[in-house]
Amino acid sequence: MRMLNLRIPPFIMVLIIMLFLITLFTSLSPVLFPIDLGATNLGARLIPPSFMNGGTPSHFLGTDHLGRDFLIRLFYGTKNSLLVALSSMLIATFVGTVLGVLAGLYRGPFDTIVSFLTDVKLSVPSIIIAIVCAAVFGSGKWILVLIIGFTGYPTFTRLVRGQTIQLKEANFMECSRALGASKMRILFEHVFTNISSPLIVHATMRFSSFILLESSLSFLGIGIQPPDVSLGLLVSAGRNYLINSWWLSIAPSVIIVVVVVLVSLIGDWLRDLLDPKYKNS
Amino acid sequence: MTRFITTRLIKAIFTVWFILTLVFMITRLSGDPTQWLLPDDATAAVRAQLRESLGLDKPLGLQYAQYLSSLFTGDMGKSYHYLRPVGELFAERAGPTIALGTISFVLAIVIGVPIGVVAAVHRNSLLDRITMGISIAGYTIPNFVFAILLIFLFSLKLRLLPSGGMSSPQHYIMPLLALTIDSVAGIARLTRGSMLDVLRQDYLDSARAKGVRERMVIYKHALRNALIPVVTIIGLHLGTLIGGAVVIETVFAFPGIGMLIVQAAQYRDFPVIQYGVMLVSTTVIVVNLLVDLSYGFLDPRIRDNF
Amino acid sequence: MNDAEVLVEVKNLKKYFPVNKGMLRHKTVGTVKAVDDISFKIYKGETLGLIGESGCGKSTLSRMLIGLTDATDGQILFKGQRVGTKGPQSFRKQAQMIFQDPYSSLDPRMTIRRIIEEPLRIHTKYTAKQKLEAVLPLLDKVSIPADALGKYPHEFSGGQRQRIGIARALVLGPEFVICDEPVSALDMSVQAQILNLFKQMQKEFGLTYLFVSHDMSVVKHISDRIMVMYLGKVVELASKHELFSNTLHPYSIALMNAIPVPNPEAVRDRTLLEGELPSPINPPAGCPFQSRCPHVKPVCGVEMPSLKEVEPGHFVACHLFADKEGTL
Repeated sequence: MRMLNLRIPPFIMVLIIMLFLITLFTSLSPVLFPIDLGATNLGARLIPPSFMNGGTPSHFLGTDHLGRDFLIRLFYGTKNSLLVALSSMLIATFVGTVLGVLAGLYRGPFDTIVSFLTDVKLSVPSIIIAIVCAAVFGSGKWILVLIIGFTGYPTFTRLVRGQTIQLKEANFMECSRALGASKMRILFEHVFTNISSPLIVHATMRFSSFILLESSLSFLGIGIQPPDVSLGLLVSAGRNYLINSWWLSIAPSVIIVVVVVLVSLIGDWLRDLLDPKYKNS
Repeated sequence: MTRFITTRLIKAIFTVWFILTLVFMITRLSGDPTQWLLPDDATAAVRAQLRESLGLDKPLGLQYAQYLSSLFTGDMGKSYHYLRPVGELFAERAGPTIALGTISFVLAIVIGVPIGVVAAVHRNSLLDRITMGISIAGYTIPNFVFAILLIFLFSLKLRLLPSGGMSSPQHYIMPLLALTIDSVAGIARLTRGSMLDVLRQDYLDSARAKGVRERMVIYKHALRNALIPVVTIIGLHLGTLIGGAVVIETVFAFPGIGMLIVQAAQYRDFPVIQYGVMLVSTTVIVVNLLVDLSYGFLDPRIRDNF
Repeated sequence: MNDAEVLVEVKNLKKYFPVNKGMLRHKTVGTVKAVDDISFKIYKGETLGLIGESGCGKSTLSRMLIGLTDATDGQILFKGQRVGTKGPQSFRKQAQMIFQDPYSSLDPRMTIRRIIEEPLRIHTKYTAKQKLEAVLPLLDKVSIPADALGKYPHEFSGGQRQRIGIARALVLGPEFVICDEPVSALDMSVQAQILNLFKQMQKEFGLTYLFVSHDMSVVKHISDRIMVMYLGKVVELASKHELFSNTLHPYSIALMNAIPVPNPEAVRDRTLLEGELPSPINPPAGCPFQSRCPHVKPVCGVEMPSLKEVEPGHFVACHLFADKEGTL
């Protein structure tokens, strides 16, 4: 799908750049700060940020309750949270789309089963599903990706299936068949191009919920495990020190909110851009 | 109409059964629980004994049958961790959670719906923008962040409210706030959207042309029709509410069902998890069923089609 | 007429749809005979008009001819070769279809260029340059400006979209084009333009058309021969001139009388069709038109009239007429 005459309003451009920079810098964490995440330095516990009383220049944002540099942990935490959310989104999108397309194209018993499973999954809150899965399969970065992807795919399936069914009715698919196109060609040329915009919008919107889910799970202790870091984990770790070192919980929270807001606003803009134009045809 | 009810009912029952079976299979799948209930150097004999006492040595089919029948007898086995009957554990903690959940639910509706309506009616006014701003904040800020902020503000800085436990009514205030804000934001936004859609409709103009006063137009005609999607939203929100309860209870050390389930996950306490999932899914499905059925009463189009 | 080359021949074509009842679709309670034993020929270079009311089977027939649906029985021969849904790819290159609804027959997410090039992508290995070279002259012929290539369908009117559909059908240089009600969705003023474009294209590319419509005035304008269908059967087939000057089948007569005539003073013989359309599931024995025919006879309810040649090139399926040998 070519959209060469895209005019991005400056405000959105700023948002996209911000998101891009955040992603870029945090993913470079291992390069920028090649340290061992598990290393603790109990002699340097809970030092405040350098611009506050008691801070030292060697730790710009101070240290946490185990003496680890807080700024570095923020970087790694953001990287991990983003990584998990992005990977889950990819899984959810892929699985959901494949199932949705197959269910929509072939209908029949396969469709009934897929739809039923989707409905079932949607009726249980995803956090509960995630908790059960974590209990059974354990936790950790990549298991978490699978779990979140697993809880996330039903909405994609539902969307894609609905779109595919609508498309099947559309005349131009038949026209292509009459022209002699094979089913595979129709699938790739027509089906995918037509579902791609609602899919992109949906994926962007869901990205926020994946970030929130990961944070919640890590916060509860069944997500990313120490010594690995994530934003949710940081918030949880800082809970006990709110009185004096409130930034330990507040900073990661702010980052979560900022990322979610950025993604939501960009998603809203994308949705306005991609939908009404094509609603006319 | 009866057909409508029966199809929905059958589907609901089937869904619950399916979830239960699924949970059963998954938990059994994950391997031998004695592995993490006993220290690594426990002898095989000890393991065997534990398995027998937990009922794990019986054939799978028999276990399944027992499991299903126990739903009716109420005997869900013993928690691996607390070594007490699961039913008891839940009964103890159900009270607080239900209280918290119900009050929050009701509050969210009572506050959220009118806010949404007013925002829609006075569209693009300052009130509307403020409300929507707040609701966006509610949506994007994770509930545990809210919880922590509340603790920070009210417990630590202002020393007004207790931060953990549930021994007094004051203990309920902050969890309630945290839980409700989430729902209020979402409900207000959706109500506003639905109301805006309805307000655009033509049949309202015909009422106005008839001379009905503006206020009546809104509250009698528009609201009734806008309520239908709102009812769905409320039904859907229950899921989010339960999810939220889980987190909130943990943050505030509020010993309710939510916290029980989370801890059970940490301890791999399968009987508790099973029961918890069953409880949660049954509740959600029942509520959704009621929501579906209430459509029959609210929307005459559905009534006639079935 | 018999000397001309036969491009398409249809022999005893049938398309039956089973009607199923019950939730698990176990019981077949009847059959809809959408196309019930049809045979005809289409000659190279001509335009065969196919007319009938909705539900008479003309769309099903065109879909079978283009290879979108399989026949239940019978044969379709293109240049002597059997064709079908799995028919030879060469058939698809030589036969194309233009569709009824210009609003849904073009993929809204593809540019005009990709839409018109689609047959080339499917059947040839042309480079981008070669594809462009094939497309541009065609655009010119259908009077669509070249800058349309980068635009999307929703930027064009119905008439323009239909022109694009025509360009798409012609880009491979087919010999046979099936036009399935291509002007029915267009405004009256635009219809005439598009019809003229059809005629122009035929002359320029030597095309053979099967032109399907429910509108007699349109069919009259463009056809050489006309075939009238009713409930899955051919009831009359003749050259345009013959059909209009010597209308034989009672149904054809009723269709003729329904054509609006510009003269408000003209006295018209309005044969109003009475009676009801029989149920397409398990229709009664005999002639499908018997329930509405003003000249119905006892034999009409018993025996199905076969298509007989009553004059050279003029076929009718009705018990009222004897064939050339005088057999009724």
